[in-house]
Amino acid sequence: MDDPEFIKRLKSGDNESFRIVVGKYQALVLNCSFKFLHNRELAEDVTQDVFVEVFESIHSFRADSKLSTWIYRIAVTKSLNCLKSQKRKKRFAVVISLFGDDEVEHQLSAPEDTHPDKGIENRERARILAWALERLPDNQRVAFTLSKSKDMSYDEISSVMDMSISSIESLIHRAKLNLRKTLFGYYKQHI
Amino acid sequence: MSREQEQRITEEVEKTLLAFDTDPILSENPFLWTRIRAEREERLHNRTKKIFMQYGLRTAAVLLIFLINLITIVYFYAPSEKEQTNATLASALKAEYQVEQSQNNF
Repeated sequence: MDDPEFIKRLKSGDNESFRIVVGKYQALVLNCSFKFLHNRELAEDVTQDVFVEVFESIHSFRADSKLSTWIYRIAVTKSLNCLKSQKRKKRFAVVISLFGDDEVEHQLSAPEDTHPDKGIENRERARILAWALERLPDNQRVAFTLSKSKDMSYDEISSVMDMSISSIESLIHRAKLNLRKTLFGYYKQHI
Repeated sequence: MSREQEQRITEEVEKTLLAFDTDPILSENPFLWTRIRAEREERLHNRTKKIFMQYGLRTAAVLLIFLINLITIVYFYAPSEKEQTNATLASALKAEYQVEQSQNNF
């Protein structure tokens, strides 16, 4: 996939090569987006946006990193942008609900983890964890979330985030400390 | 807060931190390629429309402004027919009666 000839064909706009890229990386991007968004529909929308962006920006791919790393970076950026957009919609919905339109707020309530294979208890914990992650700075959030991907080593995370492995380890450590603090406060009020 | 409660909260916190670890792998969408192609075509169409609107409208606006300026110049600064007739008549009378401009009639 990182063969220079293949990259050259991608840059020339070859549809068949692009189709191969989509086939190979679709699951990777979908699962990465889902880790951030916890909503299959949103994750699929983001996945679609990611590959459209890959096709339109392939000329800017410098091949100094792996193609998968570059695609991961786009996926992380798009997922974070989607989260921010969802947050803005939620805020707007709260303002609208002040004027009496409660239906809008209900429709735009926090995106639930819609995966059917998860037990109810674990789904609730995942929702709480997602809520706590929103309170982290972006870089800690990204490092922690990517560390939960089964197919990502610290080495790959450091390539995606363009940081050293020790920085990634430090970010993940700080993320966990902050998450523990936030979650402790939450459970103290709710247990 | 009792020690028991604190321990319970700590246990719940640790379980929550592991909530993403049990995420199963999502299956691929077989229609993704079709959706991507459709979106690319739509973006290309919108881009063409945007270019036309941007350059076509800009050119039309520049031409319109030029035309308005031209009409303004022609209408306001060119001598009117009445003024031209008066000027011709004045010079004809001067020639007829040999009236000089500087002449003092008093």
